[in-house]
Amino acid sequence: MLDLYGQKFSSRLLIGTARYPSLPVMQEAVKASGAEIVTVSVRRENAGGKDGDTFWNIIRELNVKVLPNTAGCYSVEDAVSTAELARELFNTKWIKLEVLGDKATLQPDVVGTLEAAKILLADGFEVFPYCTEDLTVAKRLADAGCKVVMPWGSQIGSGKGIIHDEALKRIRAELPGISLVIDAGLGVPSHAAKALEMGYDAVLLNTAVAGSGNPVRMAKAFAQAIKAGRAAFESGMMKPREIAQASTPVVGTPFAKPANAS
Amino acid sequence: MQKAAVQNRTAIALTVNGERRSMHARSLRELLAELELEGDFFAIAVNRHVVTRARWNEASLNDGDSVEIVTPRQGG
Repeated sequence: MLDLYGQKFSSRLLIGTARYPSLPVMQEAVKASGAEIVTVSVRRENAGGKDGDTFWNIIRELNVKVLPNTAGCYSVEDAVSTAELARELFNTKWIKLEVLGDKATLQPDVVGTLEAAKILLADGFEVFPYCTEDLTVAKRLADAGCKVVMPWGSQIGSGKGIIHDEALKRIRAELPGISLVIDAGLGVPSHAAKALEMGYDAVLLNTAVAGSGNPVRMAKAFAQAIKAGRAAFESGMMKPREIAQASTPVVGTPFAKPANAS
Repeated sequence: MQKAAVQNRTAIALTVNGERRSMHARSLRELLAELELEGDFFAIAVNRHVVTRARWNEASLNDGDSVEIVTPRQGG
C-alpha cells in the first residue's frame, strides 16, 4: 500500500485535474485511472463566483482525496499564503508545495522550497514538496520532516519522461523510509512503469493523460503500467549482464557436436 | 445590514484580487454581496492572513486592505 503521511492507498497514481478537453472528460479520466488522489489549485474568483462551485461539485462526486497545490508561486511568501488559503478552502493539511525559480523551465527554487516546507511543517501542514533530482535537497526536505518527497522526472508538461535515472535511483537508495513520488515530465505509460520499477512509490501526472487523444483510455493505460511497474519492483528484477546468456538449456541440443569433438 | 445602508457609507479603497477598487463593504460578508459573488466555496485572506468562514461577518475591512478571494480550480 502507498503510505502518504500515514494514510494508505491502493492506487499509486496521483492525477491532475487540469487541461482536459472538458470537465466531464476529466471526471471520466480520473475514474478510469483508479486514482484515489487528485491535485487541485486555488485561484482568484472573478467570474461571479460560480466557476469554483461547478468544478468543486465534480471533484466531490469523484469521492477522492484532494491534494491542493501552490502552483505558480515564485516566492516563499506567496507559497505559504497560498497553502494557508488551500487549507481553509479544502479543509486538509496536505499541500503540494511548488516554489518555482524559473519561468521558462518551471524549475523548482529548491532553496525557497526547503524554506517554505519548514514554515509549513511547523504550522502543521503535511507537505508534498516538488523538487529536482538533487540528492542533497531531497535529503534536506526529509530531514526537515517531509514524509513525502516529489522529484521531477523532467520539466513540467514536457512529456520527456525520466531523464536523470542515476540521480533518482540514488535518492531512492538513500531515503528508504520516505515515500517518493515522481512528479512532472512523464509522457507515456512506460515512463510511469519505469518510475515504479525504480522503486518509486507513486507518480503524479496530468498533461500526459489530459493532453492525450483519448484521456479516458490513456488514464487506464497509465493505471495498468503503474501496476505492472510496481509488481516488477516487488518481484525483484534480474541484474543486467554485459554479454549474452542462453535462456534455453544447452544440454541436449539436437545435432550438437560433443564438446571434445575436433 | 441592508444593501442600501451599505451603499450609503463612505467608500474605502480596497485591493480585491489584485485590483484597486472603491467599496462600501465593511465586512467580508458584505464585500461578497457587493461583489455579487454567489458561489459557496471561497477562502479569503485579508492582508495575507486567512479569515475563516466563521469570521466573515465580524471581520472588519479598513481603507487600504488587500483582499484575496479564491476558489477551487483545476490543477496539476
